[in-house]
Amino acid sequence: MSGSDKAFGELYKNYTQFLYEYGMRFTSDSDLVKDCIHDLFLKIYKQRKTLIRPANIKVYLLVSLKNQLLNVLKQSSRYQQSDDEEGFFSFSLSVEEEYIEDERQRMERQLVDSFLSVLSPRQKEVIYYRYLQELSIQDICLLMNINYQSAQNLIQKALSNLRSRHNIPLLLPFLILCS
Amino acid sequence: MKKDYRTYKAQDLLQDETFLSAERNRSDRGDTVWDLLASEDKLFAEELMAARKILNDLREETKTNRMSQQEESLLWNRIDSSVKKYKQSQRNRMIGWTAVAAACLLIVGFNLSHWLNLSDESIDYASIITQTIPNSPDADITLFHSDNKEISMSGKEAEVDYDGGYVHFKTESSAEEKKEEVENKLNQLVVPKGKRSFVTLTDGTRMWVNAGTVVVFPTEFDGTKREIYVEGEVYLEVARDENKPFIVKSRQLHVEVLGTKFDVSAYNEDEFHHVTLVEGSVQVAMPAGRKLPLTPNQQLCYKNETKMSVRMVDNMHHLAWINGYYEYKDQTMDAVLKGLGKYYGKEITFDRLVTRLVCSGKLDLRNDIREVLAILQDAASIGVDYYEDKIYVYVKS
Repeated sequence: MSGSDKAFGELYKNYTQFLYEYGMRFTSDSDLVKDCIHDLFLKIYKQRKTLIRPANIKVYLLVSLKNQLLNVLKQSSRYQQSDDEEGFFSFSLSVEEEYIEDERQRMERQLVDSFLSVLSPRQKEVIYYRYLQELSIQDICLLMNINYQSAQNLIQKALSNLRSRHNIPLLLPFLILCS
Repeated sequence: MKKDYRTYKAQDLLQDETFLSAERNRSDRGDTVWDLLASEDKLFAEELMAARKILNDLREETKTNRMSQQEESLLWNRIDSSVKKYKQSQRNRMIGWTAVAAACLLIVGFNLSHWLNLSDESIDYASIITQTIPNSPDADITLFHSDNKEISMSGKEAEVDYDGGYVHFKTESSAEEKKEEVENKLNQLVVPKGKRSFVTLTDGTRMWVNAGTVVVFPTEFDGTKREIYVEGEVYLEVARDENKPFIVKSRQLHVEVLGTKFDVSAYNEDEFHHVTLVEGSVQVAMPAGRKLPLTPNQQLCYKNETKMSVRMVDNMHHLAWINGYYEYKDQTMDAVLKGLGKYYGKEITFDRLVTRLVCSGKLDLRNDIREVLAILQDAASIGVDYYEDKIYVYVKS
């Protein structure tokens, strides 16, 4: 971090949507996510002179936001029905949004939901990092606090779950080709 | 290619760094080594297709949950002003050293009192409420403030706004407006049957007050929490403040929130009291000390510790009153009449056949009860008789 205000603004512009989207996978409370992003950026600004430029800013931001969110969520776990860390990560939309969305969108949503519903929350999380954020296994280890081998196993398991989901429709064009 | 990809399954492909980075930059021409391989080997083609479909489905999924531009710039403004405050505080650090020390002491003091529960002086609201709900249709919406002063307003709706030591009181059309100085004391707003009010509290919380309700709230929320008391029904959009939880008390239930949208219906004459959560999260404390969290679209129906339930409400028709409507869908006519009777504070009786009529619709609550019933009469085959203060509804044959 150069310490200049301009760089700080750039950092916000480049990463805020990304962080928001990420944060919303842990909670449906968008104000809470915004609060945490606010706190995260303020923390970065305060530490701008002492902060060693992290090897991967993206991963640094993800780790920081995740820790912050989980801290708040745990503290206020009395407001949550599930305070089990495993249950936090989600690919599906929050209830409020489902309530607002129209029927067609909801149908689409349900399709994706069923596609991902074969995964456990941790499997969803690992798939999200690997294929949507395109992070390396090393970075994923850092984010999920697991070792290299477990990360790989988790991915392996998630993929074969997804695959078994996909088998049936994919066989169809193949059969037509053969006949 | 050094590896023999022909034996690769979709899972293997998805874990292959070379494959992933090639897919990231893939054009649609279908001329990658994998496409070539697939054209020779049908089994591999299937695996390739599966791998790409999984990647594709995942990417489709990620296009959700963006902030609007306005949200994004609002958040930036917040961060920016915090940064400026921080810079300012850095400049004043030396000067403010003693102040910091004092603040630390304060924080310690606050925490201690919090621990020892010293700050938890509970107010006996039920005894504070001096006002009863007038039942006459001509009664005014009245605000009692600053110990003995009162402002009242005729009209079906009133808007109450607090601003720098003053309270503004106006009717919906702003036809009438009053402004008075207020002390930092408890206020009581009395909304008679058949009327509604909208209040903006000093912390920015927005409150809709339904007919037949008394609500007690302070002019300013000092202390460690924001607390109001209600007999009747209010719908709240609470301004978020992590450090000052917002508590809505009724005779039986205490609802604690940080920032969210919800409805509390606690009419003394009702058998069941309701808390309905629209957005966010709330926690309801019951008289015996049990605490129950609610998630959006859940409604708590409470009579006593043994007679209570939580149910999902899939529509919010019953909250249409905040927009000035009475809305119902596929409801029996007797339920609609009961709802109207409650809103207008009138006793409506009906013959048994009325329970067989099912209706849907929207009624404007700014009309008085005769007008509303006349509209219903036009829509359904019912007749209405008025006997002094009572109303009788029957099915026309």
